[in-house]
Amino acid sequence: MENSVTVIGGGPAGLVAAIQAKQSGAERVTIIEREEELGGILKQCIHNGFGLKLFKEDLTGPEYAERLIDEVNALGIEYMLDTMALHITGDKEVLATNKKLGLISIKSHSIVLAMGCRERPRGNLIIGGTRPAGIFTAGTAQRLINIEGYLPGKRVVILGSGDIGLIMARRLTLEGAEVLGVYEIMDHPGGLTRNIVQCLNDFSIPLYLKHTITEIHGNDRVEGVAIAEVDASLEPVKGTERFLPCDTLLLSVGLIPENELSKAFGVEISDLTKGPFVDETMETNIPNVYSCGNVSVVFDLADYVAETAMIAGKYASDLVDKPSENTVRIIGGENIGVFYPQRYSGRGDLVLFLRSKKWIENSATIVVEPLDMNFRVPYARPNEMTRIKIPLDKLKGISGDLRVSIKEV
Amino acid sequence: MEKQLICITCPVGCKLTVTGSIEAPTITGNRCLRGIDFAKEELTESMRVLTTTVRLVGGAIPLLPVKTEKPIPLRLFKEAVSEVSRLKVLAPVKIYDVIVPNILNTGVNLIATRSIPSTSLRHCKEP
Repeated sequence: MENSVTVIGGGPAGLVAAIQAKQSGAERVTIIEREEELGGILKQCIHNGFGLKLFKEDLTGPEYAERLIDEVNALGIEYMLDTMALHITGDKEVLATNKKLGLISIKSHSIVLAMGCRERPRGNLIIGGTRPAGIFTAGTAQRLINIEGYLPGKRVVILGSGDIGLIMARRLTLEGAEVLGVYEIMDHPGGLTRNIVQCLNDFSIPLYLKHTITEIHGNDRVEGVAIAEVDASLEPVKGTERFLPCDTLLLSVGLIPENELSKAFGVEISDLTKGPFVDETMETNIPNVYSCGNVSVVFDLADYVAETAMIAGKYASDLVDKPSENTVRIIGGENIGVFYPQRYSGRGDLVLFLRSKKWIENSATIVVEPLDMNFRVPYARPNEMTRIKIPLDKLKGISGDLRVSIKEV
Repeated sequence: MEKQLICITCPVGCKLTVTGSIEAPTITGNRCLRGIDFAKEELTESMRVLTTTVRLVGGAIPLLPVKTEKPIPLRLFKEAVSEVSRLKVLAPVKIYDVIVPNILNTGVNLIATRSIPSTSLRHCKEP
């Protein structure tokens, strides 16, 4: 069990981490997956637009998953399906359970946390009204339509303009439902610009910015929602409320990393990313426990998830513990909404993911102090992560905090 | 003519401005050459890859995800989906199997985007 890696989660992050760990020399790699198949959320994302960076091709979610699964099989990586990881002990023993084997204990040299994220549900929002049938998170609706073959409703309102909501607006329209509109509380869309174009504009579905839903009506089934404009402090403006009849409400209002397992064995969680604090090797505060993909921070692109998983897999397979020379903190400076990772330990290149607070449409500069390095980027948007890579040799001998900022040019 | 377009070839989403005539347009705002091709095509006919599902019989799941091998005219999407909705495919299916050849005479095949075996998927490799 010495040179071994256990990966929790068989979605894009877990698959890539497992492949990379095996290719980097780990003798035994085991994936634990709670569903009956590998692939995670990619299986229900039947739309294209995946893999432009990783595979240099425009793939659908299922194709992306199948390529990774084929590689997992070819490399002889073990996986346990329909298996739920329950707990991780202090000496890195993973306790899991499935119907065949009952309680299972797996000890390994390293653990990679790759549990992904889940959607914010209605209970997480403050919407008044009744509790009828017909309220779904966008991802649940996606699973119903694309995997199970049910249409969740006929007249649909979507709250929130995250990518899954936009994708579902198009999907529902093609399957014969009427999407009345997408309502977004912020003054800018949550999803990628290309999805506004190809999911809403292509099908003449209206997007209402600075709007929210204040009440849900209906007894057995949703009968309608009350829509209102919001002011600068995101409060509904009196007198703007109107009733919109519909039978279905989809929520596309954000994702939360799924860290119950991590928290329970002492992994430190960042308030900003809602995922584990990691260094540039994706190692958490617990030695040889790594975290990658959406369980760490919510990404927009599966390819970015895959990149963090490659890093985690590579370092997880390394038997020789290389304690960091001196770990410095990474600090979010001017105009930084979210940043990841949060530490630098002097062991490798630093791939840094950033979300801008402000919309900067013309070029912006990313400044990393005290390094004498500026990164010019064509734009910086809150809805799209920016990625920069700082090579190890530029970071040699660094002491004190690394402060990253995004400045308008 | 002046037209604003957003390129959807990749996640960057360049804002394109098209001036001149449809036959000889001038395109600015693109960060790479794919933006030029996108704008030229978009002016005459919006082309998109259609992704949808087909009913599957005898597989572990009831639906097979499919896509058009290449982009097809956006205006044909509704018609294509309604044609596909009448189909039933028998498992097993291999990824990239042709499900509908030359869909709506576009010259483009509708292909499977995953493999689905005919037996149950439930299995477990014990460590």
